[in-house]
Amino acid sequence: MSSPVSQLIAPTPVPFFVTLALYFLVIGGIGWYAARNTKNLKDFFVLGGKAGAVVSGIAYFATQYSMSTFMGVPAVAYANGYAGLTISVPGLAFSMIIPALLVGRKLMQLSHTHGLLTMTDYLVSRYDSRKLGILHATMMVIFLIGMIGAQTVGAGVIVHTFTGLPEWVGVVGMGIIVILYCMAGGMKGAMLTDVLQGSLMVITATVTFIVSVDAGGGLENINAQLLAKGEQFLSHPGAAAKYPWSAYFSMIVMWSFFTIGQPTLFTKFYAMRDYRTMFKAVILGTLGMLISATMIEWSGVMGIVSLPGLTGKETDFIVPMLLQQNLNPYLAAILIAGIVSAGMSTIDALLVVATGGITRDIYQHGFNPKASDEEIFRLSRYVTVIIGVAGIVVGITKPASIFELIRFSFGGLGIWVAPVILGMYWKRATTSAAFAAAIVGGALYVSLALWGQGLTLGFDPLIVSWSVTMVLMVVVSLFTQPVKREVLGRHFAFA
Amino acid sequence: MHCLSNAFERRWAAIFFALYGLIMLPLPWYYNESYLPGPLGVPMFLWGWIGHGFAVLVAIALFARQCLARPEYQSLDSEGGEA
Repeated sequence: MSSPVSQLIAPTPVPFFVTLALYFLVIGGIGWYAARNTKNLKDFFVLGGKAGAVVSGIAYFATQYSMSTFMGVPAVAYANGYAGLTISVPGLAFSMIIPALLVGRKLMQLSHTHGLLTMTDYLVSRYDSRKLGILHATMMVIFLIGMIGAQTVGAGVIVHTFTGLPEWVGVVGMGIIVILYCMAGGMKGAMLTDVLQGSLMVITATVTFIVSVDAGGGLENINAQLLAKGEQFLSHPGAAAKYPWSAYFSMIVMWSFFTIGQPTLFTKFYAMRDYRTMFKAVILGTLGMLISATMIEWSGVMGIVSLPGLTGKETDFIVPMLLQQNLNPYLAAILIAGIVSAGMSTIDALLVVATGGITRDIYQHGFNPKASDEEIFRLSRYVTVIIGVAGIVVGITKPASIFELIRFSFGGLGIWVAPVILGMYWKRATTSAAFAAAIVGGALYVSLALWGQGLTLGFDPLIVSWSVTMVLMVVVSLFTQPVKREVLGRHFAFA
Repeated sequence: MHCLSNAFERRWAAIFFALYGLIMLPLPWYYNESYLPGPLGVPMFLWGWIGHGFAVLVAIALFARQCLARPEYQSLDSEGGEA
């Protein structure tokens, strides 16, 4: 017997390809424009430090909100009911203000006065260690490839839903398009396309929400039907019992506090031109996230009533199917472009940051200090292709669901929160301690995430691993040599 | 400049971290193991999250307004002053 997905899918390849082709032409045009205006390394990585509020704000939430927001979390909400929204809705409002409060303003000052371009630059500068920079860049690239792969998985699901073609076609297609415009335009191309993509994401979320309410016969009817199915769809820990309080707490902290460990966050702050821009970006970005993420994820709950019967990995199809079943094919394809945008805007930012990790932090700073900026700039374009292809390979092999892939990779990057926070607030934090925290924290996180979930008392492995790294960093710092006074002077001049 | 730089920063950091801590508590309008219906039958905790989110947004706007009226926020070269 065929699955509910294959029974419900009604491929509409012509409207799908025509609409997406037009959309990609526009995106390609922006990439071409950005490439003509990207003249040096600083332009490529942080838009020359001149991003305005609208570009920064929309780019921030476009980057943060990905295939996971538009497909992964609605799938979890579909499987769990309202408790599935625990993943991001309660913590949404904090996802920009907490990083801005704790690290954002200092990062802007450091970038402005010392020319920092990447998160690795910050760590190298604060801990006065190129080797720490190489360690960070290496770990970062590994986890970023996992995140890129997760985005391409979503494209595969969409292409399969709308055209009936195999999922790998969507994975490869999306990967190639993002590589091309990112290779050409660097951060300028990425942030400018983010503006278009972010706006489309808000529209897609709003329309999907309206469509899903309508398809279920109105909110009151949907909630009454959910209650008839069982109270667990309307309460914690949810229908699949995945969201007890420990998970609720973990999710709030994960997607706000631990964004401090995300290299893309550093790049966004470095690119802002002044504090006015930062605040406008925080307000605009927070508002955009509150609206778009809440509505699209809520649609997953509504789908339980209008499209029942999806199980396992099939739940990833819920949002594309809601659109396909309830809208004109051309309109559905435009809105699907909004979801594709969510993945693309995330991939482009990840690609630029991962490229910087390999070309500047590993190659230039580790092996060839004499390499000129022009040489690095040229090399960056080839490295972008290699990393993008690695992401495509992850997408084709699909080792886990979209949400699980992102959660694992995000956690791997989050380990660096201890060296960042202590480095920023505690002069005594030492280089040896930062090394110890990163190595032990990384190994502990991967072990717990893959084999030791039962040992974390329901909390996310990242929270347990981070707590250990904080204690470890303090203890090791007290017994090892402090960083040079002149280095600390540079970093604490603004305190 | 950071959230402990001076009294003004510390006060606002305390407000934001209080809001942050509040939503983590298992209060019935944030986390509930029984169905507590709100308007349109939507569980109360979802309305609680949305309301809390907009309260944070208002706090961010107020914080931004007060910050941008202060001298140390006029230029990236300024050091955080003691208030």
